[in-house]
Amino acid sequence: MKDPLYITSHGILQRKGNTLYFVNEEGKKALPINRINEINCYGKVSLKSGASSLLMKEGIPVNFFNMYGYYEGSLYPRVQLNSGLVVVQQSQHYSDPEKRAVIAAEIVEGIKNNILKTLRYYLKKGKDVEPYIQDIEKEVIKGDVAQIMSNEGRIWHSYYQSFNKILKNFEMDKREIRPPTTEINALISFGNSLLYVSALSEIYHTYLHPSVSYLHEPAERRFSLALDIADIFKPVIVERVIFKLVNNNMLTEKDFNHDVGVLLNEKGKRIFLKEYQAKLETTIKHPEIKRKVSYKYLMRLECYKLIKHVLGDKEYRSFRMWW
Amino acid sequence: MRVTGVMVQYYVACKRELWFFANQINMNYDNDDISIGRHIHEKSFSREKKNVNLGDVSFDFVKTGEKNTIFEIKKSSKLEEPVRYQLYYYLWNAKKLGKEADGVLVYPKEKKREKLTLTPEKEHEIEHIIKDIEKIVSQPLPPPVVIKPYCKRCTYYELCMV
Repeated sequence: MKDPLYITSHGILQRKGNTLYFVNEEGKKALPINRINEINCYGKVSLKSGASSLLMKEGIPVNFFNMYGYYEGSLYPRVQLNSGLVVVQQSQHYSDPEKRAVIAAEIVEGIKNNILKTLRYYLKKGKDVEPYIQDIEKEVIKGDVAQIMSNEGRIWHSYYQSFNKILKNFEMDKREIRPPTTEINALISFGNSLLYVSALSEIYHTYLHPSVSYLHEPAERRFSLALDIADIFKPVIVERVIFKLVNNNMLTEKDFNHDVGVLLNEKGKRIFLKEYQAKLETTIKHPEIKRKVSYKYLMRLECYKLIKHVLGDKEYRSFRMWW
Repeated sequence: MRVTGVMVQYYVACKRELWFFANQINMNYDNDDISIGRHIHEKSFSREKKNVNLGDVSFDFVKTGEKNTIFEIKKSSKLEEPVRYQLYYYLWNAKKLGKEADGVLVYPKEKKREKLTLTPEKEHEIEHIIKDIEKIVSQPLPPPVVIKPYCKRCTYYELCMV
């Protein structure tokens, strides 16, 4: 199984022969290139040209994040999987508003379902989230893409409001980004940017084009299909990590910088990354493919379902937590 | 349309796989069985000149003599029947170009080989298969899932089942 590599310190990636090294003040460390499927740089990382060409040859994308943990861009290998048919069909499902709305609504159904599952879990644990559950249950997802998006907006809003009932520490005032103004906003932003690249790297392993999306507008400057896929999994992966870290006091005031807005510091990022990675690798038996799959792989399966949908093979049904 | 030997193999093994493959949806990456197969192909028969192109198809290697022999190297004999048809297709191709040959399937790991000769009966079958392949591939939708004993190790497994 190949795993993503996270670099949180500053340094240089270089190649010697067919070995990749990370060099910094502490020394030189060989990286197991056959066991890496992506590299995420949270520190200032320079790539020598030899390292770049080795990584591109091996098909390993390198993602860069700035000091605030925001995604800056990627060194993306030449697309190795190319199917004209899939991209043409994928695009047709975008440009036909009715076809697009079908997929967008399914995505929001997935979001709604997974948020409700998460809230019901905390309801069972004695958290007073009933009113939020009722608000979200009331949302009937239908209409054109604009209406579906406002459904989505209201669902997220109620959900974020419920955080104050779930979290033992920190306040959730309102969702704010660039820069986040509270600890919780900082955690959500950081978690979402991690999930975004995880989704992107899964898309990279399929035939879908990462820019052609259904809920988000492809005009957004990022690979918007990754935003579509990631949204379905936020309640399952990101928020569950946040609730655990906060409620078990694994992250406290000390793990944040409070200069420009509120952001995780390096130690805080490491704690988050460790928990996030463990979550992605958690496995669950899949009822249809009858195999254990990781949470991360569920995102790949989501892409496969979209491929089948756009080809007309099987209607897309978004991922809903079944456990 | 260019029909390859692998497509004939898929035709016998699974028509859905054939459709995906011929429509450029190839899942054969990042799979250990495929890597091992490629390794076996590269390491065995290292004294032979490998990958001989003839018309539309490419053989693993050929031995020339009174009658030429076309070799096909395989990792395992699990897909015996589909693989036979792949080789029959090569023999049919060779014959069409006036280079009649016999075929040998080799399984280096299993220390096993099998000789094949093209009969008029097989020729007829191959001609029918080619026509049918063209028909299947040009359909707008992939053929439905048909569960077979070897589905579990297929690289398309998750795509089909999910």
